[in-house]
Amino acid sequence: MRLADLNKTELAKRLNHQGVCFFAGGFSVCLNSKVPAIVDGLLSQYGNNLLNEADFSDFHINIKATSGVRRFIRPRVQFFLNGNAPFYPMPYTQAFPLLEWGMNWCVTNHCHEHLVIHAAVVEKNGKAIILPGTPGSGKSTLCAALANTSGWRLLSDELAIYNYKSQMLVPNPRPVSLKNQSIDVIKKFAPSSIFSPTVHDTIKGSVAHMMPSIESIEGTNNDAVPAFVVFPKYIAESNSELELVSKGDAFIQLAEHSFNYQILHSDGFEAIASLLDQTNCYKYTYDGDLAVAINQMESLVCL
Amino acid sequence: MKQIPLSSRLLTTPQCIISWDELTWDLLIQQGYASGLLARMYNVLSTEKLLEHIPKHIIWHFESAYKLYQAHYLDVVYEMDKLSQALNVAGIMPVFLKGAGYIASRDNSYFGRLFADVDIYIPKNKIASAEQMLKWQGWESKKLDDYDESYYRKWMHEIPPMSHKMRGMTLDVHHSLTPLTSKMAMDVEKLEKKVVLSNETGYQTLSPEDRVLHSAIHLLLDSEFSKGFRDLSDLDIMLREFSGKNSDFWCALVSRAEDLAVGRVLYYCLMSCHQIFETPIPDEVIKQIKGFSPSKIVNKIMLTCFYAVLLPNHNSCVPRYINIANNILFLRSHWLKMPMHILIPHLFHKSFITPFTEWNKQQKETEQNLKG
Repeated sequence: MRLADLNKTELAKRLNHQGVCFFAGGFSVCLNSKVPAIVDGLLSQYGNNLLNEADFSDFHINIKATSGVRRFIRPRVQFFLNGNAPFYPMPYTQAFPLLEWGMNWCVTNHCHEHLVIHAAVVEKNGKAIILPGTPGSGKSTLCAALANTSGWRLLSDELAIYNYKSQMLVPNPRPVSLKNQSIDVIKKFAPSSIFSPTVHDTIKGSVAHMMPSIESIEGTNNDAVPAFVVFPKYIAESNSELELVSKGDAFIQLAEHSFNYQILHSDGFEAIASLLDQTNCYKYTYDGDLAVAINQMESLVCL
Repeated sequence: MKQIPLSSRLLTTPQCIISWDELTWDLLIQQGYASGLLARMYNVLSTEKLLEHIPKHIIWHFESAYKLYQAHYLDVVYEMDKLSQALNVAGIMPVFLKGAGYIASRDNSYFGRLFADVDIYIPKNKIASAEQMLKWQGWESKKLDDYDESYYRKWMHEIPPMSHKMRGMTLDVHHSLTPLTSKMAMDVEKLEKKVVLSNETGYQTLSPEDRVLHSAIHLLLDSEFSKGFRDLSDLDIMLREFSGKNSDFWCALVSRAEDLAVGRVLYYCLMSCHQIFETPIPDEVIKQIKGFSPSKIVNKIMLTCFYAVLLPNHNSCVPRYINIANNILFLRSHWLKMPMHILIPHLFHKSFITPFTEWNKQQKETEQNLKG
């Protein structure tokens, strides 16, 4: 059964009581919330996701409105994992982005059997491209464009999860988070995709989420072979070009972008080394022309 | 007798997991995250060769927690080594306390435990040179405002926390084991006389009885119990280990508590361990420590409060009266730490003057930012 098989009233009722248990990317989540934006967000972005019929969930999450007098003036919401709140409350309107960030935090803070890197991952022809990037590098925009191009599937827009024992990438397909200008860019590029309502004035500016394709979600259990690491860098009016990066340089950048390199100690070192043994690494400057960018990425995986 | 929580059952009778269903595991993982004890549970199950009974799709929670513990452990061991080297130059040998102390003495209680900081004790007459030595070797004191700084220096049992500028782990340097103003101040000289040197690690720690008493005082005189269940589990493990190794342990523990005038704390500690972990305490020891208990009503209130705050910090465990219990213990903690003529000015400062200076500072910062 998929989440979309529940109608809005039923979904809201479950969120209110026993919780909605579903698969969000590679993890199972049991979610409780009385906040209407969460019901809408789930319906908009998670309709294709399977409900979890089993009794076990990896993460028990609750998005609650804060109590106290303040809620009448400036209402806020808070993220709870197992009843504990790891973050400060956020404005009420930001409930859905808060849920998404919180779920990312659940993975980066608890999943240490794999190397977790701050990067988008997309795959075509059995070859996965890892796109690590600092905010503003154009990583999410490029990832969203590729995820909307036929033949490509999304593994993740934020977290590359590398299983260093099997040397494969573990998919974690969840809604793609788009920020500021890239919201309109992607809405124009892929008008048929499903977007959540844009939320303004978050700590990251304006934020909207885009639903991954059904193929991406159905591929959740198929691990991917890492083939390329591409470090994107958006520079307006530049030439879009791929430039080889040395493995040593790539190593340092990947270590910097990973969340648990230090926790894994020597395993972390071995993990990045084995990842680099399987991949070619490039620096990619691009001017924001998505058609050109997609062609260049296609040329990599079609060789 | 109340049933002990699921987490305690796993830690003390791990064979029970063989019959667990998915729903029980679901609850256990939630409690494990809330109490921060997944790594310890993993260690127990691994020692008892029970790992195969953890469902395949659940085991990663334990393995990941264990990885995090190993990273913490290696960091603390490294810090302990660097610290000893730095102080050795001045001929000072620190006594490791709490978490680092468990590592120094190779107690079972360090397995699967996360470490937020390293605590050491240094005799008061050597504090100045130790502080100097540490500063030369790269440790820095955290920036405190004038009030906090003088408060620490005048009333506390430790100097303001330090941390190494490259590694960032917090170091607490104690020159006494309880706040100087505390109604339950422990006689440091007595503790110092019993300090033991571990053959295995070459580090100094308190004697086994004092390790128990010190951890008990820390846990039960504190006002914050978010990690209470974990700390009580440390105590349960120590009590089981020490009494197993040494048949005189219970006797020595009780008389030591009497000697240090902390019998009441030992009473609360043993009763809580027994309630929550079913720690096997011989009947005659129970009879002896009952001599330390307060009047009937106070006894009932205190044990109920401790029971509430020391359970795993998760909905499935905490009783309804948890907030009342927390408030009572908060007041008690401050009452015991400071006499009224220090407490009242302190609370006044913290509730009126500190917020004002903070606000003032913020205003200045925003002004400067606007100018910049």
